[in-house]
Formats: sequence, C-alpha cells, structure tokens
Amino acid sequence: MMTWTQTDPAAEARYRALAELEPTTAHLTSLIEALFDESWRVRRLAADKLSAATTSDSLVEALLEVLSKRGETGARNAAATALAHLGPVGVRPLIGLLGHEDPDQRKFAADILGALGRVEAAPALVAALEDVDPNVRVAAAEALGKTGGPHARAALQALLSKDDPLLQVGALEALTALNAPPPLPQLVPLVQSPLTRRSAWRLIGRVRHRAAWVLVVQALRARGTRDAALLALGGATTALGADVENELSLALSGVDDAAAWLTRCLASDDLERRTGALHLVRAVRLPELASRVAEAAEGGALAQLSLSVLLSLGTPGLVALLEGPTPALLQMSREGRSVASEAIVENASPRFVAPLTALLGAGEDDLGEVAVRALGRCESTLAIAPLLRALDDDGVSAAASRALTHLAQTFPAEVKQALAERVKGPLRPHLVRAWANVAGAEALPVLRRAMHDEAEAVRAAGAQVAMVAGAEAATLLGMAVVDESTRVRRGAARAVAGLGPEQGRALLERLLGDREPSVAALAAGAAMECGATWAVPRLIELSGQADSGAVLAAVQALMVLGGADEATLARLAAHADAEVVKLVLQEGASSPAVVAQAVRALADARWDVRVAAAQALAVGAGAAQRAALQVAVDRETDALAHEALVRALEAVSAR
Amino acid sequence: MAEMTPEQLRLLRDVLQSACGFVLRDDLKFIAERRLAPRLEALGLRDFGTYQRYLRYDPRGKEELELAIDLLLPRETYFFREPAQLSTFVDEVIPRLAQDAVGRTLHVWSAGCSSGEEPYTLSMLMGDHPQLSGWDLDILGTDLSQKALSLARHAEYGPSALRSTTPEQRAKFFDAAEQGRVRVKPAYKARVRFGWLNLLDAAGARLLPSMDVIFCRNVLIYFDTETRRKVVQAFSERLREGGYLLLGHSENLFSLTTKFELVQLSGDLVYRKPRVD
Repeated sequence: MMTWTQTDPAAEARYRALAELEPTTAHLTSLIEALFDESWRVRRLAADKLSAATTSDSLVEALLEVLSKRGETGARNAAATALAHLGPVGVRPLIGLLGHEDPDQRKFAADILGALGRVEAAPALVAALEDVDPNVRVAAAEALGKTGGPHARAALQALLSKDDPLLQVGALEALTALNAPPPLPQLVPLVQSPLTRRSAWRLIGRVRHRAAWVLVVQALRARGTRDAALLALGGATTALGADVENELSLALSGVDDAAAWLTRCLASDDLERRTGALHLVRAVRLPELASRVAEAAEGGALAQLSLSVLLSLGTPGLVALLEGPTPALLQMSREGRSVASEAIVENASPRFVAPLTALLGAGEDDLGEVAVRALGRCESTLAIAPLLRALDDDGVSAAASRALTHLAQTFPAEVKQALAERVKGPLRPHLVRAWANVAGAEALPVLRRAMHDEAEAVRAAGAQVAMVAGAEAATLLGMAVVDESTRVRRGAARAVAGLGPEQGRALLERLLGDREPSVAALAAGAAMECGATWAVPRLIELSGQADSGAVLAAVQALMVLGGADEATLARLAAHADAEVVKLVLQEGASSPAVVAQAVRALADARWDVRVAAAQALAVGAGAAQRAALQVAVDRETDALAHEALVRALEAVSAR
Repeated sequence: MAEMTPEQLRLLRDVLQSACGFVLRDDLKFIAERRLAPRLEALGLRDFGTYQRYLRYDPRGKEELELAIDLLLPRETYFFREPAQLSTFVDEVIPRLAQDAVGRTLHVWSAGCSSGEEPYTLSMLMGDHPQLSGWDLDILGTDLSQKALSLARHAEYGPSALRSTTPEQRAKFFDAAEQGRVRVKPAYKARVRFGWLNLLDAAGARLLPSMDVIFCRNVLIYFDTETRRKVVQAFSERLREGGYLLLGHSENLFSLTTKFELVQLSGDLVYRKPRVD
C-alpha cells in the first residue's frame, strides 16, 4: 500500500493566513508576493483574491511585472489567471505586451487577451499571427477564436494554407469557435492529416453547402472514415434538412452493422460523437434505438436534441419504450427516463392507454405523474377510468385533475358523467377542482358542499374555483373570506379578482387587510388583476410593511395600477430587499426618482440588481446618465451585467 | 412552454446553490425548463421569474424548493454501482477496518444516498463479509430529499435500480414484490437507518457518530468548489482517524483540502484521514 500525504503544515498555515486577507489596496503587496509561493494552492488563492480586487492601473502593472519573471512559472501562471479576470482594464497594457522582446510574455499576452475575449484586441492579435515565435502565433490564433473581430476570420483562414499543423489546428479550432467555416476546398486537404483531421471534419459539418454533405455521406459508407464523418454531423449547428437526411439514410442502409455501430456511438463519452449519432438516428429512423436515444441525454447537455430525435421516431419509437414484459422505460437511467417521458407526454395517442395504465400501477414514483399527464393527452375515453383512480392517489391527484380537465376538451360529456358519479361521494380537493372545471355552473351544489367540508383543503379548493358558480360566486367567496383557515382565505384571494373591482370590493378590502401577510399579498395581486384603483392607498400602506412577500405584491400592483407618487417610488427603489428594488427598477423606469436610484444601483454588490438598473436606464436614462453608464460598463466584470450595461449605453447613445 | 431567460436561469442557480450547493449549469437550461414547466402549470405561475419569487416569498416556497431540487438534482443511483470500487472496499478496505477497529462495531455513512440503493448495497456487502461476522454494523444513509428518503425506507425497487445486479445477487438479497418489483430482504434492511440531512448543514452533521467509512460518490461533482470544501470539512470532522472516504471515480480532493491522505490500493485510490501519532 502506498500513501501520499498531502498535508504540509507550513503551506496550510500560509494558505489559512492568506484566506483571511481582504483583497484591498492595503494587502496588494502581500497578495502579489503570495503569487510566488511554492504551494500551488496558495498561488491559486492569491490569484482568486487579486481577481476580486478593485481594478486599478497599479494592480495591472504589478501583475504584468510578475509575468516578466522568467523562471517563475507558477507565479506567472497565477498572475495570468488574475489578469484574465480583471476585465477590460487590462486590454491596452496586454496589447502593448504583445510587442515585448520576450516570446513568453508575448504568448501570455495573447492567451490572456483570448480569455478576456474583447474584440478591441483583435487587430493586435491578427498582427501577432505573424510573430516570429510559433507558440505566440498559435496562441494568437486561439485567442482570435474568442475575440472575433472584423479581420479575424480572413486572417485565420489564411493560416490554413501554412505548412504548420499546430497553427492549422489552432486556426481550425478558432474558426469553429467563431462558427465561421472556410470554403470547402480549404478544408478537404486537412482531413488527410491525422493531426488536423478531427478539427477539419468538425468544421466541415458547419459548411452550409451541399458539397460538404456529399463528403460526409461518402465518408459514412466506408468503415474507416465513418467515425470521422460523425464528427462533422456532431458539429452541425443547424437541422440537417430532409434531403441530407435522406442521403445519410441511404448511405447507412447498405451498412450491415449500422444499428450496433449507432448504439455504441450513442453511448460514447465523446459528446460530439454522441451528437453526430443522434443526427444519424433521426435520418435512419430506427425505432429500436429509442431507449438508446433517450439515454444519450446523460449529463443533460444533449437533452433537447435527444428529445427531438426521439419524437422524430414517432409512435413506433415510443411503443418500443412502453411495451414489453418489462418496458424499456422502467429499465432506463433517471436522465433517460426524463427525456423519454417528455416524448411520451408530447406524442401521446390512444395506442398508449393500456401501457400507460400499467405504468401508473408500476410503483415507480417519477413515472406515475408522467403516465397521468400522458393519459390526459391520449384522446381516448379509455383514459378516463385510470385518471379517476389516480384522483385518489395523493402523489398524482393534482396532475390527474388537470389531465381530466384536458381530456374533457375532447370528451366533455363522458368526463362529466364519470366525475358526476364521483362527486356524490366524499369530496377531495382535486376532485372538486376537476369537477368545477368540467361542469362549470352546474358544479354549484358540490361547491356549496365543499365550502362546508370539514377538511380545510377541500374548502380552499372550493374557494379557488368559486368563479365557475357565476352569480353565486360572491356568496361562496364571502364564506371563504371569513373562514378561520388561512389556506381557505388564500384560496379566496386567488379567485376574488374574477368578481371585478366593484362587485368584489367588499371582499377584496377585507382580504387586503387580512392579518396574514400571505393572504394580503395574494389580495394585492387580485387588486392588480381586476384593476382596483381604489386600492392604491391600501397598497401604499402595504408596501411599507415588514413582510417582503406582501411588499413585493403591493409594489407590483402599484406599478400596474399607477398612483404611487415619486416619494413612494424613491422609498421603494431604495428598499432593503433586492427583489423589491429590482421590481421598482424594472417597472418604474419612467420615474425620475427611479432613474436616480438606478444610477446608484449600478454599483450594487448584486449582479441582478445591476442588470435591473441597466435595464431601467436603457428605458429612462438621458444624456445626463451616459457618463455613469460608461463608467459602469468599463468596470463591470460580470458577463450578464456587462451585456445589459452595453445595451443600455447603446440605447442612451442612440436617443 | 415558458422559456427561461439567462437571468432567470442564473437566479434559479443562485437559489439552488445557496439551498443545497447544487450548481445548475447553463447547458441544463432545457432540462430545467422542461422539468419545472409542470410545476409552473400546477401553481398557475406565468414565468420562471414569478416562480423564483414564489420560492422565496410564498408560505409554501420552502416545500416547493425541495420539490424543485428533487426534479433538477441528478440522482442517478442503482444497486452495486461502480463494482470495481466496491470490490476494493470488500477486499482491501474492510479487512483493514476490521483489523484497526477498537470494538466490534463499524459506522458507515452513505452521504447523499438518494433512494437508498447505496447504503443497502453496503449492507449486502458488509453483512456477508466473513471478517465481519458477528459485528455490529451501523449503516447510515442521509439525503436532503424527504421524498427520496421515503422511497429508501420503503426499500422497494423496480428494474432500473437492478440494472447492474446479477441473477444471483437478485435471488440472494431481494424478495419478489408486486408488478415485477423487488424488496430488500429484512436482514439487509435492518442494519440500515436513514436521516434527513443537507450536506451543507455542518451542525447537523456533528450530531452523527464518529464514522469508520464515508461513501459520497457522484455527489460532490454537482457542487461548486466552496460547497465541496465545506462538505469535505464536515467529512473530515466526522471521520475517525484512520477512517476512509470513498468518492466517485471522477472525483478527487486535490484543490479542496489537505486533511486526507491518498491511499493507493491494488484496485482503486481512496482517501484516508491520517492518524495523529
């Protein structure tokens, strides 16, 4: 037995000491020194801390200084990591570094500029493609794949004809990243070399020309090139089109072991290979591969493609999943099941009623709800009986209620008749919901019973669907509003908007004053929904309460109904709860008070608040806020927030 | 079907991450949309922004969050998963534990046990181990999902959970149940207990006994680095000196802690808490 002890007490002590340091200017020297530590953990922590430090020219300068230390590989790498996270402030000095006499520093500069991905670095990187040092040239090519830029594509294409496989691979990968395939004649010679083959085939899949697919089809026919062709298919960024699929299908039709080969490819760890195989299955339409197609979603990245291919296999594919002594669906992984279930629900047909009913009784928790959802879409009266049984199962009763409602769109009389028998017995919440949805006004006697039921869940369900009772709805809701159960009053608050602002006023006023904040919050939503402008003073009052949920609902209603003055908006835009602030910024951008708060919120610690501030300024800002936006754009390191800020700046500039 | 904007995806990720450490990757957006769409329909919510507010502000938000975690967290598990590692455990780790143990009791923790297949597998392997004959085995499975734990306690499984078992194992360890399902035999069920524990809950973990072995396979991969660090710290506190930590085959502690030593056995690499001599 061998043991490697990772424990180094001294390094651990330095690591812990560093972990205590805040990334402030006062600790800059210590953090820079830590980049030279012999422990990579300490170096990495120092780089992380420096990445989070306030960006300044002196910080960039200090990090560039570390890059210049030959022989200090660890420190240089750590400094490069920190620079790559500092954002646009480093772009100009790094462009300067591309002209340094030391090729290592030029390579670092190209790598970091690539990681920053700023388009303004592209011209300098294009120039670096002519560097005397081959490593710098390759790094510049790879970086251009991340920055893009007007001349990047032409410059990268020119590299493909150089007699330098490393540079060619760099250029191919960069063109793939930019989704900018060169003309086919430039790629064809590169599939011959083992060094460039993989990258070249991947790019061929992105060429939007019929000739590219002819190449792929030819390659599929031969055992030796079949796997390479799969990479082209895996790189395809758009749907292949019926004609291409036909040709792919023809190409594989002569292959004896096509199904076995595709089965192996669908289970491959290589994502591109799996992607290519999925495209091929869609072309050849082999329903027996349905479970393999669903399993290809493993890891999640290919779930969408898996589902679409599974759907393309049609009913035969889904039958292959559902039927048999032990249906394939029951034997699949959770990920595969999930994709297969989606396909079954989406393409449910009368043919599936029997296997879905069996699935409902299979004891598999996750598949029960799937079976119920699919039964609701089967368009068969035979689905009614299992769905009625499912109403008694607490795990799936809510889904069964929705499924019966869905089924009633096609078979209203049959579903109603079946439910009518059930509502003669004891009531259950989802039975009440289904009955109200299906029977409409005729549900009134049952709803009256529901409102007197001992179980609060049944009374709450009755209140929630009371609007189907027409003229009697107000009476039913009146009972619910004075119910001792919060759950029932919440049900009433959800439904009361249906009475309209005047008829429902007395009930809504009571609900808005409910001592339970969650009831008041739902009532605020109801006031908004029915346009109850008389409720504005109460909503303003509610917006000053402690409960954030109630405040948020009140603010939302105020924004829709209008009536909040500038002082109220200013107060709410500076609220302690970020969700309230975001909502006011999103909905109140035309108010000067909100615009002023948005400018302050550009410096908020939360990225989502900064995004909301940018969105507000995109709508409500003028020339006066332009400078603040520009500063925010320059210092922003969060990608989503940066994008929102750039859009806001463009909107303001164009105004 | 409602589509999730990049901001909504990230906000949902933040909520999940702070609740249980799970990182919802960008490429899981489609899966998240599909799996949560029925929840939006059931709750009558119009979009994922409203859903995220529901999670936070509604009185039933906590319940719903647990449901969302159940739907989104990959919980792939089945009996006798990663057989090479299990062989190493049986052939090399158990003999060492038997030799080192102070008494004749072994505490094993299956952290993030989902619906119970792993702790029951350990019960099957340890219960029949000749060197542990007559020993008191305490196998604890914990998970943050109440639904998963309820399934685990029920100990009844379908074909998917058995996909890596041999006919001999099925005959030896399971009784037949209805609908082609199976039930773990009482003898193997009896020595496994379950507990509701979020791995981020360090205080909760401190209530557990000192462990001889911790299994946490294919759980850490879904966490961010900081969460992994916290969880591994909790493992280090719970593991006795000389105790073993077994992770999934694609997981390691390289950037997380220096508190474990890496031990190369003939069949696998495992982690061990060093003895302070």
